[in-house]
Amino acid sequence: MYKIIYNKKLSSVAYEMCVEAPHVIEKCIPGQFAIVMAQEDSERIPLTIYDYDKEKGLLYLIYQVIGASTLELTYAKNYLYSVSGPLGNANEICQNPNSFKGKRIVYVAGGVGIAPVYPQVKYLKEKGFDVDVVYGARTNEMLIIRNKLQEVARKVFYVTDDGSYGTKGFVTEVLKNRIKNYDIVVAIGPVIMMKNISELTKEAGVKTIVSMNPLMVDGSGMCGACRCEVDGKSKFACTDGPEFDGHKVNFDLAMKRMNIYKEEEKEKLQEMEKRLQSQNK
Amino acid sequence: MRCDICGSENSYIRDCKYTISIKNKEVTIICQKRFCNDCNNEIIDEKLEKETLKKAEKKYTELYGINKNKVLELRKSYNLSQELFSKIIGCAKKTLVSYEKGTSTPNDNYANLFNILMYKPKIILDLIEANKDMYTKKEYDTIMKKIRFEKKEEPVKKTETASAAKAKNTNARIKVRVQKPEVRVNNFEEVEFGLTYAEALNESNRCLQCKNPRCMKGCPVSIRIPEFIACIKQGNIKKAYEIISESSNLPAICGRVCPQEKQCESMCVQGLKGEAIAIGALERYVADYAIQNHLKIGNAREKNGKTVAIVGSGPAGLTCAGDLAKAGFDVTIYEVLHKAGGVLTYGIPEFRLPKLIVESQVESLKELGVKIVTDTPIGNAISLADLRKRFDYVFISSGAGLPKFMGIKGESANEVFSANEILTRINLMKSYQPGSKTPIKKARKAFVIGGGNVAMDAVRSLKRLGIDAHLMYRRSMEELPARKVEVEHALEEGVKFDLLQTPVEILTNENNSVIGINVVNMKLGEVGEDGRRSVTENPKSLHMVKCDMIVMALGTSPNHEALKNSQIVLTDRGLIQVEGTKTSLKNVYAGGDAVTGSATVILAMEAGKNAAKEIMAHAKVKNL
Repeated sequence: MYKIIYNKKLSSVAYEMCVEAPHVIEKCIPGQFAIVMAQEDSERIPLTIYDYDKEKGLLYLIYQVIGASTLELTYAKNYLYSVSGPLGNANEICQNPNSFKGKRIVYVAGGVGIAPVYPQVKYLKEKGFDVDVVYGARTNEMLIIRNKLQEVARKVFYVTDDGSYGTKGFVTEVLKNRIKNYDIVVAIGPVIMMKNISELTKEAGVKTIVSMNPLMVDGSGMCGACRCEVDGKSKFACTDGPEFDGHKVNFDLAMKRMNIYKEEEKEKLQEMEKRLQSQNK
Repeated sequence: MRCDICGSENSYIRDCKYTISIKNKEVTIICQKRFCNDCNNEIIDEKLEKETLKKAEKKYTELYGINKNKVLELRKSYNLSQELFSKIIGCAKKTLVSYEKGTSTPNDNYANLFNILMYKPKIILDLIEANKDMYTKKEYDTIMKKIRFEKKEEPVKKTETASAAKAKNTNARIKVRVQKPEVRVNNFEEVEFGLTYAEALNESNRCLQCKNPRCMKGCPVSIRIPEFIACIKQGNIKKAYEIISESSNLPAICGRVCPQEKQCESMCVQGLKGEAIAIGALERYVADYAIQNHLKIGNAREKNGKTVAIVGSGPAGLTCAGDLAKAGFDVTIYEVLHKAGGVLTYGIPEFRLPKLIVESQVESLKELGVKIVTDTPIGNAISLADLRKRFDYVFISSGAGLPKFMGIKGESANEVFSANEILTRINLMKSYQPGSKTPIKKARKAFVIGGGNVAMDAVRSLKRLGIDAHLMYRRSMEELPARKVEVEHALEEGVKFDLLQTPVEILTNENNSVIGINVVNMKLGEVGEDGRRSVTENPKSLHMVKCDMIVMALGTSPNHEALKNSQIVLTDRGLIQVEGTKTSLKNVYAGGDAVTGSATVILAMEAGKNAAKEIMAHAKVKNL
């Protein structure tokens, strides 16, 4: 049992949770993730470590409600049954900042993709890097943690689909105009966004790192549910990733593999909604 | 109702599967329990508890109790008068009580007796013989006539003398009772039932008590088999358990999953001419008795001040932990998943090894003072170097978790799973239960590729989910590496075996979903250097088979996440290099699948045992 400090709504789709999990954050480096379970019979949900307080042993997570299990997570109030981690590999740049000295780096975040981006930008700031962030979402209210982000990034370019804040359009368009200013792009967000960014940067010849978020069960390299095709080879996102070279990832396959349990998940969501309703009565 | 952990007033009721021990018998029922809405702590609701108890007692009576109808039915089946029948029961009961020497309650004897009468009419004869003087001659003759009549099906061969025939008959190996295939294929409950006291007694009487016991040589952890069987003969099950637990920390698990026919039972002298003693079933009987009666697996000695970290809570880690804790070491086990047990928990299905058994064995280790830290990936959360600083010794039993794939075209298709994934979803995440929160893919027809125990577990699990489950193996029935009894059970359950075939391509539609496989037939060749027959593909036999799920059960290899950034030496095959169980790093030991590649539970336990011995030797702590 891990104590929840708070579990609050950030926008119409995103939630932030703070939980006591000193073992997870003691050694963690941005880019790694944790797996949480609300209750003993819950699904294991992989979530990026979005922020941490090493002194107090606090782990911060941001999650988006997309199905039964994330819906259940929004109802967690006092304790989480399991928080396991850190899992996966750290971001390449954060792992070895010295070998990237002098490189001009830009982060591209889409939606809750800002959750893995923020800790990396913060970490690099501490290591003396000044990085830019292109941050897109559907509308104004979905652009979360803006204040925190602005404290650590050199410049943030906001983009919304409907133009309610920042530039109207997509992150790809904004990056396209500025791509000449950068040596490395780190793109994290929906698979389709990472695909478009990677196509753009491949043309421009700019190194690109993407973070894959496939289906996962154990997160320790045991089940193979998170298989991604990278450079024609099968890789496990949990132990080989989650970050890969964007120019080598087969995004189309990744998108199709996201749908494996589509029907089953619909059912589970209905079951969960019923269960939560009856609990609240 | 208020939660006593978080104080919340919100609670909800849900159905739980719950096992209660009543009069030394485990009864599993579905009952309602109340849980805290916020922290999910179970809240004791007296009203519900009462209902649960009522339900359980009802189930107990159903299962073990003796009611009028049952007795009547039994009496009719023997065609005996009521007077005579109660006399038989009375006499037999007396005999059994003296056998048991007060190890269990009279009521249980009665239940046991009932089981005997139901299933083993032969024993009645023995019991009556033993109490011959309590019957009048007329009564005795009537009984003999009636019961002999029942035995008409086994005519005595003319060439054999009556005594030889009797000897042969008593020497038949006990047939372990199982759930009927047509029933068990619809549930995940254990296939094999435990022996009853009488069955165990009968089987133990077959043991010849060899002076030079060969069976012990066949046991990787050298359990003193004849000695514990002798204890069963004497009715002293507690003593039998003490003998087993000196060698094995997980007897309830070994009794269920060891390939005994290749180990102890293969060496049994009785097996040379007839059938080997059912050592596995007897071990399970003793271990289950211990769990039901809450017997400890031994006492921990005084702490010796040395600390040991164990990486991974599978069979190797648990065994090593048990031995070291008994010897006074301060042991901490680290596990990455949320539950301890490793492959015992995520891999082996409920119908072969109930998770309650695993949990109770883990609990018994905790009682010895072993600490188990879950949710902690060694290598990421704590590096091996840090473990070495914090502990005097480290034992690495991280297993072989990385599933192998074939590398054929189409393997990235959506419905191609590793056996590990299917089994983890089913066993660890309980996705076979209705209303489970983790989904399992629905399918109509599935192929499981492989022929080992994991393949059997996967294919039998799928069958239980209502899928038309096929096993595809490239060699023939004889070469199947799985335990024989698992293959038999799978066949009984209606699993289809597609032998001497191998897939060469997985066919998919535009959504990346599996629609079928291209298969070729195989031809067996000579026995190769590895002792297995070689196989060659027959390309002309290429044909397509429709299906919508593929499960790869081709074995696993170690993934060394726990060894990240350490300097430990690996072999060419990527396994941890060891001498005995010592690795290249000082005071770091390793064993189990991480050293051998995927093997069996008992071999991992042997490695755990050996590592414990070596650590004790190094720490100059005397072995038990």
